[in-house]
Amino acid sequence: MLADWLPVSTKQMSIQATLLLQGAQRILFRGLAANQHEDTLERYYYHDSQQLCKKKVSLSSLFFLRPPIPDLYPISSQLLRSSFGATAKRNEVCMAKLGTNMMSTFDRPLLVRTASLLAGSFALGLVVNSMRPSGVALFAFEPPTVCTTANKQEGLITEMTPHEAMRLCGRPEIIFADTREHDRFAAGHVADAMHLPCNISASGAEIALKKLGNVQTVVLYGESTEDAREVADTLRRLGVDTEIRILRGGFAAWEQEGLACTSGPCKECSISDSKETSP
Amino acid sequence: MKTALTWALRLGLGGMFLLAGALKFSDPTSFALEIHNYQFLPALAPWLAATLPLMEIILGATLILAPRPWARASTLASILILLMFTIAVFSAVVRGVNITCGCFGEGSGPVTITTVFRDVVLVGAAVALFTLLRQDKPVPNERVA
Repeated sequence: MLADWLPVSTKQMSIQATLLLQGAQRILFRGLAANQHEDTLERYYYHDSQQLCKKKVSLSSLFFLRPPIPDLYPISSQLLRSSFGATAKRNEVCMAKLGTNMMSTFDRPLLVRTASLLAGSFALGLVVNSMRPSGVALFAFEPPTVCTTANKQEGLITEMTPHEAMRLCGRPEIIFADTREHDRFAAGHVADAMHLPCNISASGAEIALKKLGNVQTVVLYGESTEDAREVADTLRRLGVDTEIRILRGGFAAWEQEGLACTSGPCKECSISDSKETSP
Repeated sequence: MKTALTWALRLGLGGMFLLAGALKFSDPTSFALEIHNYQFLPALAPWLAATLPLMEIILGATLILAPRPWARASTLASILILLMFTIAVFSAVVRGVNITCGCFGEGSGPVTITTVFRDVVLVGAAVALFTLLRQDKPVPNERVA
C-alpha cells in the first residue's frame, strides 16, 4: 500500500530516464529533441495526475503533483517550467474532478457571483421595502410579546374555580387579567380586570408588568384554562414573581356561574390600546 | 439521467424559493413578527423581513432561469440561507419555543423536529445540485494508459 503513495513509480522513473536521455540529446543536438522532450514531460505530468486521480488522492498527497525535481534536468529547467505551466491545467481538471482542489470547487468567479447575488438582493430588498407603504419599520419596529412555554421559571401556578376566584374580588392586592382577544374582552370581562392578551405590544406588556409587580396575586383567565396558562408561563419567563392563579374553565366557566362581569371599555384599556400603535 | 436530475433539483428548489418568497413578500410586518418570535437575533428581525423575501425570489428565479455559472452561485447562496434556516428552527426546537414556522408566510404550521428534518433534506438537495452543476472540463486524450 505504501508503494502506491510513493511519488515516483516505476513508470515515472522510466519517463524520467527518458527525459535524461532527451536532455543529453538536447545538449548534443540543440533543438532537435525539443518537441519530443516536451511531449515526454506532458506524459510525465499526465501520468502523474491520472495515477492520483485513480487512487482518490488525499489532500496531502497533492504534494506529489509537482514538477520533476529540477536538479535532475539542470539544462532544461526553463523548459520544465513552461511545460509545467501547460500541464498544470490538466492537473487542475483532475483535482477538480476528485473534489480535492478546494480552489477549483469554490473558485473566485463563483464566490464573486454568490456574494453579488446575496448583496444585490439584500440591497434591492431594502430599497423596495423603503418604497412600499406596507414596508416594515427597520428602526422603529416594535414586536409584541410572545407567549411561550420556553424557559419556565420556578414558581407555582395554581388553578382555581370561579367561586374561589370570586372570593378574591375587590381586594386591592388581587388583580384579574383577561388574556383573550380585544373584541372578546370588550364584549364582556370580569369586573375591573386588566387586558393582558398574548399579542399585547411590548410597551403594553411593560406597563402591565409594572402593574403586576405591585400586586400580590394575579388571576388569569382566557377562553380556556390552557389559554391563560400560556400567558402565565410567559409571565414567569419574563421574571414576574407575583403569585399567579388561573381561572379553571376560563371566562366561559365564570359566565356560566353567573358571576359578576362587565362590558365595554375598562380602566385598563389603555394598556391594550397601545397594541394598536405597534406595527 | 444526470441532466434530468439537475433540472428536477433546479425546478424544485427554485420553485420552492419563489413560492416562499412570494408568500412572505406580501406581508413583511407579519414576517418580521414571525422572525422575532424565534428569539434568535431578534434585532435583525425587521432587516431580515425586509430583505429575505426578495432574496428568495431572486435566488429562485436564478436557480431556474440563469445560465449554469449563475445557477451554481445561486445554489451556493441557497445553501447558506437554508443552513441559516436550519440553525434557526433547530435552535427553536431545542429551546422548546412554541412558535409557528413562518417558512411559507402565515399558516406555515408550528416549528417541530419535522421542520428541522425538512430543512436538512433541502440543504442536502442544494448540495447535490451544487455538485451536479460543477463544470466538468473534458480531460485531454490519454497518452499514457
